[in-house]
Amino acid sequence: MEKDRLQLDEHRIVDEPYYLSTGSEIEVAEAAYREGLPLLLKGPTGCGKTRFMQYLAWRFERPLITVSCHDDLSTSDLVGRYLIRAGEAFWADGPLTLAVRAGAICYLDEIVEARKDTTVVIHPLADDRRELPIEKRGELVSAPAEFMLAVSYNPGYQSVLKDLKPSTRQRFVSLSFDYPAPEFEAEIVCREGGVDTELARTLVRFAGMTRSLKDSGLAEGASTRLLIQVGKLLNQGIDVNTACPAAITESLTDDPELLAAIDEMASSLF
Amino acid sequence: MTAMDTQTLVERFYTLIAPELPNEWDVEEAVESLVDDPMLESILAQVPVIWPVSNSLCYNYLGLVQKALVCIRESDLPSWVNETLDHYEVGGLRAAQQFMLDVERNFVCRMQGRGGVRLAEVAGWLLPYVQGLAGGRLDLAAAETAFTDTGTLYLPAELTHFDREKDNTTLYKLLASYQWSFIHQNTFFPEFPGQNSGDQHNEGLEHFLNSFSEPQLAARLYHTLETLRIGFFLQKELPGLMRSTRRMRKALFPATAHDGEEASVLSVLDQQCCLLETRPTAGMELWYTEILSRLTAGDAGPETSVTLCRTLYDRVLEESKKEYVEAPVLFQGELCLQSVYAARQRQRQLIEEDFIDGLSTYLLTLPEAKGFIEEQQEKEPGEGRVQGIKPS
Ligand SMILES: Nc1ncnc2c1ncn2[C@@H]1O[C@H](COP(=O)(O)OP(=O)(O)OP(=O)(O)O)[C@@H](O)[C@H]1O
Ligand SMILES: [Mg+2]
Repeated sequence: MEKDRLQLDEHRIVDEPYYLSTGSEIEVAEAAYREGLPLLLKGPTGCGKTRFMQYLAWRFERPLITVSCHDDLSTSDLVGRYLIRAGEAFWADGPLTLAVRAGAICYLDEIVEARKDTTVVIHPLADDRRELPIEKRGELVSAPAEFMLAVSYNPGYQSVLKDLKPSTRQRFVSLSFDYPAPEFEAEIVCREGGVDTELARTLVRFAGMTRSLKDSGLAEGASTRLLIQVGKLLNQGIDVNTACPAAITESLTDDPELLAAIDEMASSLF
Repeated sequence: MTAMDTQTLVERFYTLIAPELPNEWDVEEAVESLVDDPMLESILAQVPVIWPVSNSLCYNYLGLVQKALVCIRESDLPSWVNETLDHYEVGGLRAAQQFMLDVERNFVCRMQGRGGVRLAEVAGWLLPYVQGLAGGRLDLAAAETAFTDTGTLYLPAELTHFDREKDNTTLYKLLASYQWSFIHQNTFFPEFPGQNSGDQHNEGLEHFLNSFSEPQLAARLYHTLETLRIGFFLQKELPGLMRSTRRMRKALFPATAHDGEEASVLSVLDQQCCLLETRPTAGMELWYTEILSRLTAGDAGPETSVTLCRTLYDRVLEESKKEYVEAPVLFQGELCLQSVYAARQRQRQLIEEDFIDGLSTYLLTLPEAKGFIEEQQEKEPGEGRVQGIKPS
């Protein structure tokens, strides 16, 4: 128990994370939280979903337990399992159980990546039952009011195989994230990347150009995260003609023609 | 061959064009500078070819041929002259003169078979580039000259203006960026007083241009003013592009034959389209500083060019009577309002069809419609009278 508490303390967010609200997402999340409804954050990579969850956790003063889902992630990884130590079996809570017991926020990042069986445990937790069945222990844990479940998913690269089932999606209050409007995004890049407004605007314009290449075969353009990374390289004294290819162009694609096009965009802009 | 003095050369000239006897001092002026030219024989060999076609062109040839021979081989002179005469046949004296003036870009690359770049070679990256600029769909296609109908950017199938492949490649990018800017900056749809603002379906510009005594000339003036405005816009929007093409743009400024005389409005505008000086300079004409401040103002738009076009037209008309109106700078391309309007019309139709589809799909979901369709199907099986309405 003491160990759990220490473990949880690591997940507390003490200082207010910088989060620039771009719509009514905070109000909606707050209302959902009060009503015990789970959240689904949709949106492309690097657009602020994780940052938003950190902000919410700080605002609600709850620990934030994030699980990055991958295709090997099973129910046991979420809920917990028996471990053997010194010849004896003992039960270890998984991150989801830990969060439920402690009334924390559990954020399942990229939920579609997880194995299908995980949804079985999420369903009763995400509807009005708000309870977590721990089959192996024959235990049913009721979530306290402070607990919140949030999941994220990127519709950009959803496939038929990896899409959320309607029965899953329809349990959540959905917040659709996208890259912020240019002025907002420039403000974020300016602040997080430590570059001046003018340069931040140009970087945002650059990202905007790469984001319109869906027809040309680029599923996702440069994210806010990448722009911040360019800013960081620039702050280290790397010049823009080196920083852009390194932090943006090459991170987006390997296709020679797209690479050339994106390079030409950069050389036009800077 | 032996060097000749001017007098001998004049006589030589008369034998070449016999039996004609043009004014002696015209001939003298034309041949003077050739006296010591080592390629004199080859140069004179073309005189009997050109003279019968046009005397003026022949004088022009003599004035320009030395400059041309810096770029082309002596042995290529006959084919260069032939091509000049082709231009004369199609476009008259001015076209032929222009061709000779542009010897570097028009002839050299083709003869040497190097440096030229084809649209097909660059389209692979140029298409995503313009789509990035446009923030969505925009097509590329080859055409004689650069223009756009707002859905497609038409660019020359091949560019050979510069010797270096790299420069021609960059030129494609410059042409595409200008054509996109015309769309982005609303060049084709200025607003006119009394018109619903934001109406993208108006043909107001065409009406405006047709209200002048010479609509073509008005269009040339308006389009050039817009090219200038777009140049200033691009300096802000794509500063890297404009910096890297500065030298190139200077080289594209069409050389004008007249020296000393006061430059015409259009030639000053053409020149400024290339130079894009943003601050008044010592040599700048007063009238132009006014244009400059209007076109670089924060709120400048196509309406600014409309106003300036009204102001400058009379003077341009006057000048056009005295002096041939040169082709605009290359990256200006052409103003093809008919294609713009046609493309808008097609687009509007698509939207309407979509709307009708959507509406009928919706109507069919109404209970009344279901009853109606069933009734119809009972009456005339397989041939519903609600044709064109597709149940989804
Ligand atoms: N609205 C915002 N306010 C403040 N910072 C933001 C905002 N949006 C994005 N950022 C910045 O962008 C970076 C990337 O955002 P974040 O990590 O939250 O992306 P994400 O949506 O979780 O991406 P992924 O799907 O790849 O995990 C953040 O570290 C933060 O610096
Ligand atoms: Mg994230």
